[in-house]
Amino acid sequence: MIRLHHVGLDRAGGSRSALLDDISLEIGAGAFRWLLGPSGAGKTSLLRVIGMGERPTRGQVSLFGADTQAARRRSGRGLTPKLRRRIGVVYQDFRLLPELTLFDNVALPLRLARRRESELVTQARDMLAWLGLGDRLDALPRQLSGGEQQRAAIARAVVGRPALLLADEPTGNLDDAQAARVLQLFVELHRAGSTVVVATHNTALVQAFAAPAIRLAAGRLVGHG
Amino acid sequence: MAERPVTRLRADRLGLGRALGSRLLPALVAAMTFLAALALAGMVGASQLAGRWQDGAGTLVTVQVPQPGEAAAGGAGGRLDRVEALLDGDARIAAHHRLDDTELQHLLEPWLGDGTKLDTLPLPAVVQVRLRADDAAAGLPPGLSAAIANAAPGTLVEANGVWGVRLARLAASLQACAALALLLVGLVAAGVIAVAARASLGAKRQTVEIVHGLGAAPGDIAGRFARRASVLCAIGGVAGSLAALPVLVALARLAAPFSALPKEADDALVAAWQARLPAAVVTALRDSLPSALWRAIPALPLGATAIGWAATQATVRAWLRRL
Repeated sequence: MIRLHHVGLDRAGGSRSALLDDISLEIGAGAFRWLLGPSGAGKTSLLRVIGMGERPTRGQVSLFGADTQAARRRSGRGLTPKLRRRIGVVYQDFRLLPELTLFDNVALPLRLARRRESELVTQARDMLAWLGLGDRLDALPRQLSGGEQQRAAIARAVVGRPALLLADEPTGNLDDAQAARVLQLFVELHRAGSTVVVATHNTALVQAFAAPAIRLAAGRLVGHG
Repeated sequence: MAERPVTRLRADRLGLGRALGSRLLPALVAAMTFLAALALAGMVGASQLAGRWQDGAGTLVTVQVPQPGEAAAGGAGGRLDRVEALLDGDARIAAHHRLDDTELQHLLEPWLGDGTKLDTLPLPAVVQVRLRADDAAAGLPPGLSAAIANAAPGTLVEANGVWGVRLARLAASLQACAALALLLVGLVAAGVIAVAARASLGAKRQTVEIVHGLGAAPGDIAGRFARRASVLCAIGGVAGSLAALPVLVALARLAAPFSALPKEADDALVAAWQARLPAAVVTALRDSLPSALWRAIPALPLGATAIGWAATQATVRAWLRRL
C-alpha cells in the first residue's frame, strides 16, 4: 500500500538540515498508524510526501503499487489524478475553498470523481450531519468557527471513502467529545478497509485507540510498529 | 432537514477562469490583432505587387530598329515592317506596339526638351513588345532575336525580364518580412497570454493546488482557464480586426499595391456577398479591399482564439507539472 524507500526531503533554499532524512517504511493495506513526534519532527512533511503534495528530494515513494515519481512523468501522467482521488487528506490548515459553500467543499472530491449528483448530495449531506454540520450546508468557510472548519475538512477527506486517509492534527481545534467522534469516524473507515495515518500531539486520542505508531524526530524515523 | 436542491459545480464556481483579467487581456489581444491585420495586409500587398510586376515590367521587351525606313536585308520591305511582321508571327508574343512620334517625344523630353523636331534626328523606331507571362523570364525567344538581327542588322533588343525577376524577388522578400512580422505578432500574443495565465494562476494558486490535490485532472483545470482565455481572446480578436478595417481601407485607397486589386475580386466571395447584402454594400466591399484580404481578416479572431486556448493550456499544464 505505502512504501517509502530511503526518502529524503530538503528544505527550500538549501538549508543544511533536511525536513526528512532517509525514511524507509512500509504500511500495509487497511492498517491504522499513529504518526507521532515533537513539533518540527517532520510529521506534516511525511504526510505531504505520502499524499503526493510534495516531491521527495531523494528516495522512492510507492502508493497502491505505483511509483509516484513515475506516475508524475509523461508516461504516467494520467495516473496521478487517479492516485490522488484515492487519497483523503485532512490538512492542518483545513484548506477549504473560500468560494464554495460547506456543502460544495465537501462534495468537491465526489464531483471530481464524477459521481452522480443525486448520489453525492446524499453522501455529502450525511457526512456533514454526522459531524454536526447539517445546518451549515450553505455557509461559506469564513462564516465558520475553527472547529467547524476542521470538521468540514475532515468531512471532505472521508466523504469519498478513500483507500488512504492522511490526517494532520485533525483534532487540534476540537473539544474532547468532537475529537472522540472524529476518531470513531477514522476507526470505522479503517475497519471498512481503508489505510489510515493520523499525525497528532493528542495523547488522549492515541490512548483511545490502540494502534502501531510511527515515531519521528528531527526528520528521521526513530520508531515504527 | 429541508430537501436541498441539487446543484452542479459549474466551471465558474471556483472562479478559476475569472482570475484572467477581463479588460486587459482583450485589449492586448485587440492590439496584437490590429498589428497582425497590418502585417497580413503587407503580405497580400507584396504578393499582389509581385504579380503586377511579373505581369507588367517583367513581360516587356524593348526593340530599337535603326534606319526603320530602309530596306530590310534580303529586300523584302522596310526594316521596321519586317521586324513587326516577325513579331506578329510568333505565338510567344502577347502584343507589340510601335511608339509614335508623340510617345517618342514624351520619352525623350527629359534629354532633348519639348521643342525638338524628331524628324531631324536619326532616331531608331521603338517597339514595345509584351511577352506572354510564362515566357517572360527568358526574354525574347532566341530564334526570333536571330531572325530580327538577320532582317534588320543593328537592331537592339532590351529585355526587362531580368528586372521583373529581381522585382519579383524583392516582392517575395517583402512578403517574407510581412509573414515574419505576422509570426512575431502571434508569438508575442502567445507570450502575453501566457503571462496573463501565469498571473491568474498566481492569484488562484491555493484553489488550484487544492483542486489538483483532490485529484482534478490537469486537463480539467487547464480547460477552465483556457475556455475563459479563448472567449477573451475572441473578443479581443474581433475588436482588433474591426479596428483595423478602416485603416486597411484607407491604406488601400492610398497604396499602389492595392489599387488594381478590386478588379481581381474573387467571384465566389462576391457571389456570397450578393446573396446576403444589398448591391451598394457589395460594390463598396468589393472596391474597398482585395478579396484575399477580405478572406484572411475573419481568420484573425479565429487565430487569436486558438492562440489564447493553446497558450493557456500549455501554461497551466506546465505549471501543474511542477506541483
